[in-house]
Amino acid sequence: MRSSEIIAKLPYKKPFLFVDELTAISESGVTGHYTYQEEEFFYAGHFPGQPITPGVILTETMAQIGLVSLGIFLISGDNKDTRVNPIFSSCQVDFLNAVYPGEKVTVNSSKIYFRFGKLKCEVVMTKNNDQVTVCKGQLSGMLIPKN
Amino acid sequence: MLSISAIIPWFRTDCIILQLYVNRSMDRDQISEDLKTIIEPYVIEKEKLQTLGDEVDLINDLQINSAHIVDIVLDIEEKYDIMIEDDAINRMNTIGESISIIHEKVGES
Repeated sequence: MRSSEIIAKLPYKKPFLFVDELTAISESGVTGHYTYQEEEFFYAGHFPGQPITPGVILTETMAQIGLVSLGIFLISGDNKDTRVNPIFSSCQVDFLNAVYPGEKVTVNSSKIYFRFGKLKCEVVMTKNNDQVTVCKGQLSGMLIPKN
Repeated sequence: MLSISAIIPWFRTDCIILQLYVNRSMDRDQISEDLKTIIEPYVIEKEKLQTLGDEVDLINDLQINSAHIVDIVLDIEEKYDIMIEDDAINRMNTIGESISIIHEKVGES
């Protein structure tokens, strides 16, 4: 399944879609990227006059690329009609560097396990062509197929 | 008249049955102890672990996040070197049901 086909199946829409492209995907993991636009809705309040991408948005980006996109790939196989309801169940993330408006981040996710509908991954977010680690941790969620 | 040689086999059979019964009940107690250790990290109110009867429901009584049931099952698989399938995880609602499934799977392996 191609990157664009997986992104089309994501249940998110702007302004809450944080996946531009998936550059690699397999049974064992996924790599994708997103560029935070200057006009993203949250910069006006986080923080006024000093915009910084919120940690929850970075975590959401990790989840959309690292868990949901990979999960759709794992669950769908060749079935192009599969839709899923993702449920975020837990995360443990350490934040190392800030991300500013206009910056591009890359998310790399490695599957720890996918059993009984639960996907758990080791996820790392980097910026500046992988030179700087933004955050890393373990995320998990359940994927419920939608009819 | 019954000879001693006729009594011995009966006696032995009884012993074996008794032995099986003792082993079986000991296994359940051991599994119950192991299970308590396995679920402990996922239970927020630790005092609920003090009285862990067979009827205690993992999600409703112990308030374990349903996604963590998967982690518990994976820990159980590793601990006993067994494989738990989808139908079995769906039957693991209470402590007693979980012990029975582990007991059954350990018996098969």
